[in-house]
Amino acid sequence: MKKFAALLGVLASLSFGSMIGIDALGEEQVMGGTASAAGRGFSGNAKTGDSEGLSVVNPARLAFDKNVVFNLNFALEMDAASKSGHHMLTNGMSIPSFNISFPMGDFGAMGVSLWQHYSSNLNEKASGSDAAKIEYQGSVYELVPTYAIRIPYLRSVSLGAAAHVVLGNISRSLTLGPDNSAVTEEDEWGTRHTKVSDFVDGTWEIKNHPAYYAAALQYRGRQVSYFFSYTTGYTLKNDLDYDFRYSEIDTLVPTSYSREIKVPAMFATGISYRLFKRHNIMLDLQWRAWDEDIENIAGSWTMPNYTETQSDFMASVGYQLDGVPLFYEDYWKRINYRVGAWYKNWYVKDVYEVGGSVGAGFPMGRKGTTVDLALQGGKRFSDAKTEWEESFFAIRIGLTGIGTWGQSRR
Amino acid sequence: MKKLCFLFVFAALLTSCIFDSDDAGVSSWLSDHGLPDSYKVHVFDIENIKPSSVEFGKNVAPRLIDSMEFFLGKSAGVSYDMYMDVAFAADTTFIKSLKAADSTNTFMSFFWFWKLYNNKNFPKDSLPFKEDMNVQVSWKLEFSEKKKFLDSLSKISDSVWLASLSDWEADDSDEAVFEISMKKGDSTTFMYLPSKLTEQLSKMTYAAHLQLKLSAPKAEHLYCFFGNVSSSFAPRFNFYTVGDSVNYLKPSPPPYRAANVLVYDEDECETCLHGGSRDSVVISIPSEQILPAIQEFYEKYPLDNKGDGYDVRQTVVLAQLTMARDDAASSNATEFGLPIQVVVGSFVDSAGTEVRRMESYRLNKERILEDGHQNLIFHEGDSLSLQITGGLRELVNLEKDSLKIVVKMGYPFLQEKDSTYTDYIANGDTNYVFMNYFDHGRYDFSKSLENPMTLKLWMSSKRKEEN
Repeated sequence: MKKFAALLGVLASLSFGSMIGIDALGEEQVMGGTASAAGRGFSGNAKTGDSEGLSVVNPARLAFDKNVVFNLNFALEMDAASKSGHHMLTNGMSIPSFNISFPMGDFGAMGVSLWQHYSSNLNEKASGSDAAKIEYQGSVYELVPTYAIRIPYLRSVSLGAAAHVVLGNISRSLTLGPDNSAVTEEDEWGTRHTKVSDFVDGTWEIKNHPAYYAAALQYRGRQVSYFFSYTTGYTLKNDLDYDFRYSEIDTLVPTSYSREIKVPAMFATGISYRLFKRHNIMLDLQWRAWDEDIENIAGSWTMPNYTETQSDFMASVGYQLDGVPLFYEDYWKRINYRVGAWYKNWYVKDVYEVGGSVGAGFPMGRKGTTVDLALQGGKRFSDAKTEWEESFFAIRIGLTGIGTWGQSRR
Repeated sequence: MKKLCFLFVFAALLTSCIFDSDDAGVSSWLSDHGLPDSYKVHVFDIENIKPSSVEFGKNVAPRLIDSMEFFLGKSAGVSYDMYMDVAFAADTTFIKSLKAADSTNTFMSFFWFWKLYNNKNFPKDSLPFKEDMNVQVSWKLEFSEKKKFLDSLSKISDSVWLASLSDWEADDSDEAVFEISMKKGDSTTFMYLPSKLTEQLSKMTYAAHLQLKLSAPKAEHLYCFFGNVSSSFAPRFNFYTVGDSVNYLKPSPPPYRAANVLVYDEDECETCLHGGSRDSVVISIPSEQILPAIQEFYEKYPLDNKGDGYDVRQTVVLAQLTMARDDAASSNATEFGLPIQVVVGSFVDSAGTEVRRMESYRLNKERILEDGHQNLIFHEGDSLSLQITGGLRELVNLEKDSLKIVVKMGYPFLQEKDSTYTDYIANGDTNYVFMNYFDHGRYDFSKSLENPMTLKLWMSSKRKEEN
């Protein structure tokens, strides 16, 4: 468990760059942030194949996989936020998900994913010797064991279910130098070069429950495949300690507080249509209706106590040209080519995002190992008072290993 | 894979080189999120602070001499008694000479603590010392013929021996005169022990265990000798016989261990602290004198109903308690004539246990250059300012019932108007801020504690209101 916690710590240091909703949950990493899905605009959860791997949105898809899939994703995201002539640029690297799945023939298929669902990461310093420094570092991780099975006698339909065990932590530190404008010159010595950090840190879990759950139904046809999934609502509990710090060892006795975030249920559906032999067109939708605003991590000074929410909606459309599976074919024909676009209403009120991506899956060797690459760009628009607009560019890389462990030769 | 790594690193470097936030970007972002880019400091005075209790403590527990200085004599109402635990075995030649001797003699030899007396800051007019000091010599004496006798003594731990000194009862005692004549540069001195003791010692047949107490409550000065029993400058017990020839007990044994015990005069000033002792005064100030003033200053705060009660809405950046000072009080005394630092600690919580934590000291450079440090006694001015930030910070944080601080006398101060507060090297010379030896003087804090004090607070708050 210690090793696992250490791994999470390392992963937490690699996080995303968006500053929108940073006091609420942070940036959401939709669909596990896999590079293959990202290449086609986060669509294609209905697309089945021999080695599609685990989908955190559609657990039922796994039942159609024939190979053991091991998939690790990296992302490098650059964000340029601006408002009223000021701008901030951040960039960050992360590992949004790590997935592994085992098909078990007639016994269905199982898999597990470690998914960095939300992340808030910011580390910026204003100019000057006594300058303000703001740091956020937080991740809501989900450990997602999944099981899926094709229905006997109705082999083109599968059912899947997943549990999402939440863990992770978050911290915010605002280090400030003194403003001596209300202090007489005679008394300024008392605070000269004294920096104080408003510090809060805490952990994530689900309130009164070990996990939240997702269930899905998938149909695979010769040309058309589609799925429906439902993810239960849940209450995220964030146990926080508030503190004022002069240094890491010189602090006040913190006061503890728990904020609770009611995350609504999510509906998702998607369709994948196969044109000719290797051309696929995909459309995915997902929707969550937020009822309640999200309490911010730290209310202080004139900071608002809540981040207002809105219905969280995402529509994505994508195209994929599947590569030829025969290893002796021309290499360029063996590559999967992808393109896609999406529109997303953030959970943060008056924030929406438009993005597009191109991607490719490069086969490595004869065994089916693939490196997926996706380049994404887009803009997050904001009418919210506190949030800045952001342009972003991301490079995502997925490493997928495919094996046939436990599969009999046919 | 290497290419991928290269791509990542290249992209990261590229973005960090090409893009950067503009200077006001962070401040502007903070402002949009309702956060400041600096914390507002408010300074206010709380007048008329009066302690609810003042407890002077004089710790007279025996002090093991495990460092250098070993004292005998008297200074400002306190006499320093010496205790020495001496054990030795005599060889047969010496035992034979004892039997055949016309006379025997014992004396203690001491090395003057020349590190102090040669120090350039030791007052020149204090030397030479010349005094026929009456010393009350008390002892306990045991003999044995067994070889294991000395080994068994070494099994008595220092702490057990120290504890035994609190109710130490001598087997015998007598008066002696310590003829002190010391001028600068002298290194050793001798004190002959009473003949009554020598006679008793002359009856030894092999090993002896001598516990010796020297007490000089009417001495003119407090004399300082090298005390470290394991050093070559240790005090030594000397024993010799005079007959056909002079025979010395060889080697002259140093004490196995030694201790000082402080004895205060019966009518000693109750509101005084003594330098170089473990004297302290614990001052309690009720929080009703402090917290309402802070609450009056700040208004309600958005996080008011949150949390489990510990107040993290504001923090004390600096707290300074200023009290009156009367250096001219008749009971005040100083050995070296230098200003003396007053150190202060606060009683704070540490994992559920109250501990004493010494306070840090922030320098008011402008004031120091003009008037000198404000935490000194025996210097110009009539006030004493003590920084108690840690204590105040916890009082406000935990909303404690009272602030409890402890005040002690520290080292003599050499650089009254130097704002460095630490030794430093300038132009090849070391500039010492403190004299590393205590002044065994006395200071009467009655005026400081009887008069109302002023508490000055530098506060930072994350409350909504700007006031």
